[in-house]
Parts: sequence; structure tokens; C-alpha cells
Amino acid sequence: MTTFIQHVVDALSVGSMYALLALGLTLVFSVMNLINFAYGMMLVWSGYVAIVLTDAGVPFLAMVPLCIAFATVLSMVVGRVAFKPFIGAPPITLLITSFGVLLVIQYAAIVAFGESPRVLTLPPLFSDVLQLGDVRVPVLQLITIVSAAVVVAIFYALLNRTAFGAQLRSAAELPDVTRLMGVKPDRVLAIAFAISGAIAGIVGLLWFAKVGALTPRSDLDPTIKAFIALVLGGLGSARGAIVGGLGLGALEVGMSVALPEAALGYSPAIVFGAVILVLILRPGGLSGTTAALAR
Amino acid sequence: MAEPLLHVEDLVVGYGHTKVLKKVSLTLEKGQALAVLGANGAGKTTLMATIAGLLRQWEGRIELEGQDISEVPAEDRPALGIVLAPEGRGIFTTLSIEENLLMGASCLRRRFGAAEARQRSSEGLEQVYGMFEVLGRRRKEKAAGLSGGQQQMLAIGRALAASPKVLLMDEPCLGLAPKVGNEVYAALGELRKAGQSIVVVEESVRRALEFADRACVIKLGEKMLEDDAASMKRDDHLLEAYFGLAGPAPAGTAP
Repeated sequence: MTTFIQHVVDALSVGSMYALLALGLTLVFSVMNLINFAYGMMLVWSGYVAIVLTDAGVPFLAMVPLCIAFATVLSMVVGRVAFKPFIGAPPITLLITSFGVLLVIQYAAIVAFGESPRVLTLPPLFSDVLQLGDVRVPVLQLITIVSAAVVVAIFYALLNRTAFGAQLRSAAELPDVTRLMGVKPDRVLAIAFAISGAIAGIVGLLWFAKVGALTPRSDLDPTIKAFIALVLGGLGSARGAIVGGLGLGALEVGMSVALPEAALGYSPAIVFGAVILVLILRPGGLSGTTAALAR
Repeated sequence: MAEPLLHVEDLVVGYGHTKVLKKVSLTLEKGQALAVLGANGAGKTTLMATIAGLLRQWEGRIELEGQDISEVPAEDRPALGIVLAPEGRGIFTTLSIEENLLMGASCLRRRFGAAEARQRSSEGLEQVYGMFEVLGRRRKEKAAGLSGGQQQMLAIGRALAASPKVLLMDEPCLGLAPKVGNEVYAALGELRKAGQSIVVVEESVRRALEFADRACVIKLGEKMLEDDAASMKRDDHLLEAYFGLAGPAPAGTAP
């Protein structure tokens, strides 16, 4: 039983990180049909800003909001400069634009920080492990789970209890009718990119605190995980992102437990096999939703 | 002489290389109801979308109270008082009924400032709930659960919440049972009596002529004629020539 609880905690921790990743992506997708391959770079920049600030002696509690603010602003600038001119363009145009944006901000990171790995040093508390009965919970895992829960709660409150949220949900459902209500598409886009960037800032810190080293090309892994989670859960819906993220976390931890060691190398193939299976059996994803942000 | 409330002059609009509206002009006086009639594909919805700003005219101009608004984007027109209830209703099904109405009222802030907008918004919502009691009763429910007729009521209510100077209604009875269509027109009739200026696009000719003060007929993107609705309704030759209608209207509803 203890072992099972341990696995559940592990799966929750990994899954909640994936859920956050997917949430940031799905938000922008829902309002402009953009599959944003540059999203992972927001995480990378958040990580680099954390390293720079920490090296400069900025206290941890000040560094965190600054990183989130930086990723928020970066995401808004990218949305305004690179994606806004393509509102309403075919998805393929947006996809290619996102690759262009990815390259620009990736090479900016290479120029600024070089290609050698950098390490994000966090306060020693983050390496501690809590012993809860027989279950061992690393503090970082606990922070990840709590952060994800808080972000999801704030996200839902923002979406369902504010005028901004109603505008986002409307624009995700019927963009032209939303304009007829006097809502500017620019404003909706700015809000979507801001929230997406803030989430990326938070996940960036959690992700690189977990993996340790950071290079300008570290965006690939989180981006792929986010897309798998989204496809599993259902593209364009908040619930899909959360279900997909947690599902992917459970699948990964489940495989690490159940598969013999020799087969562990095949786990990515098994994950992609699961994605294909889900797409065949439930084309709308596990949560069965299509692009409806509110669901 | 006072400027007309809405004046559309020589509007040319199209999609790609295809011209859909060919120099269409019309005028709406304050407190008037104008019906735009025509067959499927005549360009009626294109005309409404252009007045609302969703489509940009190739030529011509649109004036509101004498002011040229041709270049004003769609999202800025509700704050000027031009509000479209679009074809197909355009209800946000993932929002509650009240949230839909509040979306309609969201332009009031730019028009009247925050304090007055709040007051007008709550008065507007009460007016809508008074008009359509079912919306008030179910205000917290998702709009997805409403029937077609109730969704149309919500679309009208949402447009009213924006306190429009010109209410544009595109096919308000599309897809509704005739009885429900009559209810929708009864509500529009009440609005008209209260002095609301309305342009309504309609395929149901007799119903529209019953409702409106004036009517114009669009055929293949051109305005063929415009006259008092009452005299059009009496002109059997005209009804037969343009709409294939002859004789008195059938009881209850009309095509």
C-alpha cells in the first residue's frame, strides 16, 4: 500500500507539471488556433532569468515573481509582434510562424548564454525529502503539486469569474461574434499570451529545478510532453490539458514501475502508441472535448 | 433637416474577386423599422455584416447620425450604437445566459463611462428578463441548454443589453418553428413601439412587411425597390413578381 501511495505521489507530481505545461499551450490554441512550438522557449528563458538573478544575488522570493513577470512580458511581446499579424491565418501559417519564433528566441538565448549547460541553484530546502509515514515526498515534488493546484484554481477563477475570462471563453468559441460585442481581438490575444507566459514562467522554474541543467535547446522535451498531454486530453480545452497532463504522468510512472528494466528504453514508443490508440478510439481526447476553453 | 440615423450609400462589397453587393443604398430614420427582403444569396447577410463592420466595403460609405463610420472596425461599432444580432444567433454556448447578456453590455463602458455603464447594464438586464421571463429564471444556466427560440430571445436580449441606436437583426426566425417565430416578432414589435430603430433581414416576406415601416428588396446584390411596407404588402403584383406570393396571407404565419 505504501509503495502504491508513493507511486501516486510521483505520478501526481510529474502529471501536474505536464498539466501546467499543457494548460499554457491550450489557452493560446483555443483563442487563435495556434500550435505554438515556441512555447518551450518561454520556459527556457524563465530558467535563464532565474540563473542570472540568482547569480546576481537576488533573493529567491524576489527571483520567482521576477521570472514569472519576465516570461509573461516575453510571451506578450511574442504574441504582439510575431503572431498578431497572423490572426485568422490558416493553422499551417501559424505553425510555421511559431517555428520561426522558436528559432529567433532560441538563437537569442545561444548568443546571450552560450550552449554550455547552466545549473539553476535553488535554496537547500528544495533538495529536502519529507518523510510522511513510510512515504517519502521530496519538497520539490510537493511544491510542484501545490503550485499546479494553485495555478489551476486561479486559472479557473480567472476564466469563470471575471469579465476577461468571459471574453476569453467567448473568443475561443465565436471570435467574430465576440468582436460584435465590442471586444478587441488584440486585447483577447494579449490576455491569452500573458496568462500562457505566466504559466510558462512558473513551469520553467519547476521544470529546470527538477532536471537541474539548462541549455538553449532544453525546450524540446517540455514542448513534446505538453503536446502529448494535449493530444491525450483533448486540444483546446482546459479540462483536456489537466486530464492529459495527469494521464501522461500516470502512464510514465506506471511504466517505470511495471516494465522490466530492459523494456524501459521503449517507454517513449509506448507513450506514442498510447497517443495513437487514444486518437483512434476517442478522437476528441480522453476528456472527450473539442476546442472549448471553458470545459 | 436632421441627419438620418443610419445612411448607407452605394455600398459595394464582395468576397475574393466576387462582387456581392452592387451599389446598395438605404436610409433608416430614428424610431423606424426597415425590412431588407430578398431570396437566399441575395446579399442581405453581407449587407448586415458590412454595416456591423465585419466586412470591409470595396466602395461606398456608411454614416451614423451624419458621421462617416465606414472605416471603424467591428469591435468599435457597438460603442457607437450599432449592434448586430447575427444570423444563426451566435450565442456563446459555454457561457451562462447572464454572461451572454453581460458580454452584450460590455461595450457600454466605452460609451458611457464605468459608473453609468454599470447602472445601464443592470437596468438593461432587468429589461431583458422582464421581456423574456425564461431567461431571467434560468440566468445562471449555460446557454447551450436553451431551445432555438430561447436562444433567439437571448440573441435579441444580448443586443438590447448594448443599448443600441440601431439594432440589426439578421434572420431572427431562421430555423425556428412558425409559432416561435411569431413570439420573436411579437417581442420585436414591442421594441419598435418603444421607439427602437431596427433593420431586420428576413426571408419571411409577409411577416417582415407586417412588422416594418419600410422595406427594400435586394436581388442578386442590387436594390430593386424600396417603399412603405404597408403599400408593398398590398401590391399583389409586386409580391408575385419578386417572391412568387399571390393572394391573401395564410392564417397564422406567412412564407
